Amino acid sequence: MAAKNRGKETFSIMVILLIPVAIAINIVGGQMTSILKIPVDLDMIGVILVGALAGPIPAAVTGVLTNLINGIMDPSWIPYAFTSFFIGVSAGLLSKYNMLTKVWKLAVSGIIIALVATITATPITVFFFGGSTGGGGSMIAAGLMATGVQIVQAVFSVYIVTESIGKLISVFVAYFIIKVLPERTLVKYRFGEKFIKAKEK
Amino acid sequence: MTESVQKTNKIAALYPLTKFYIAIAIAATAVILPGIKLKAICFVAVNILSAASGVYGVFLRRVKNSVGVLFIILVIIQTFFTAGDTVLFSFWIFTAKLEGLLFALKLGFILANVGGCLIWFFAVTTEKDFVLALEKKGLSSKASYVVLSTLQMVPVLKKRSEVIMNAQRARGVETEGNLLVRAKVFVPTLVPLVLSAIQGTEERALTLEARGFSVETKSTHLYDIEERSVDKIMTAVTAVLFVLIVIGRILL
Repeated sequence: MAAKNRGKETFSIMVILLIPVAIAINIVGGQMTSILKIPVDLDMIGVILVGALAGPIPAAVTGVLTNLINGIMDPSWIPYAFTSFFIGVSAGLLSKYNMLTKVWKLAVSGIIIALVATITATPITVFFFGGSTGGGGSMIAAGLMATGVQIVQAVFSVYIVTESIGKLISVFVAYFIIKVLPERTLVKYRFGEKFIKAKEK
Repeated sequence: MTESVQKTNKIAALYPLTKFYIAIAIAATAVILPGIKLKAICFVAVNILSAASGVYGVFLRRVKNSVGVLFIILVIIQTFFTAGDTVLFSFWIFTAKLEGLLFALKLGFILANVGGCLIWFFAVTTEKDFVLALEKKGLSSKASYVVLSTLQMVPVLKKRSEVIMNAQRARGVETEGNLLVRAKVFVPTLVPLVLSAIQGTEERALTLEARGFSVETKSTHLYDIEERSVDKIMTAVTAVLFVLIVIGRILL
């Protein structure tokens, strides 16, 4: 009985309804960065938001589905579902241990998520795509390789820079959204109370 | 894709899962086939398949934008920056190596085939049909709701983001200029968008619950698709052909 209740808690109807919104935020956020020509990937804000509010498993589901749905148009997204899975899990766990409630904690969390993203995305880029990512990043990686750096190291160094900036901004945007969400909405999510308490202080 | 193409074209009118098996079989064939030439022939076959399904325009555009870009960068990176002994040509600090080029072509054609198959599949299948077919195979109706409502929500939220951006522009928020100016628009656009979307979920929760969304009985469908005998035959033919290819690859 307890197990069943916990399952319901993880995927309550509010969470089921939050996931499509979060995926749409990821996709629209990604498109907005290209409309506004911002050279940072902000396509994981929704995943971090779900992680902060509803925990690791819903966030991982959000991440994987984001990549699969983007994969309908561009299949090169699909292998990175692995990366999104771990971004979701880490965002959820960071929220569980109250790491998303203060500015310095957010900065640390952003770096942790960026590290997770870099470590999981580098092998995919190197082994699935031979070092090519299709974006401006691969040009920088190619430039590094021209100076004699190995492919793995070149891709890793490009990712660690772009991901750190992207994930730091994403974490802060997600936090900003949670801060302006009304308490009656927050309380309906598993970790929502943490942010209500954080507001009171 | 448009419904009309699906009804008139025989390949596009197949059952979603049959098309899915065909796509997977071709993609797997491309991976196991030896040599660059055979992989290239396989990619030609995917092209012919798309043309025969009446979706060549969409197919070509998506392949160019996704796999095409990857392929070119892959060839550049691997040809110039991997270690190899056979030098093709060199200029300035770059040296093109044969080993890198061959590796890039091999990987590139695998990517083109796998990507092409998926692009073909989603060009000839509506997501609605695919999810419904999966649901019949045992996918939970909640999971299929999540996928379908996401697909509906993306264009809606995209439209709304444009409206919000225009509204913010009318209030004097700069959307053009240097990077910092453009970056500053991001938050004032995204936050109202997310807030309204999350607020909307509460109403949707009530609406869904009023219609028995959480009831644990088998749900019925207003829209339905049937697996016909031609679909079963095609699935069987695909399976047999694929097994023959695998056996052929092991023996040769």
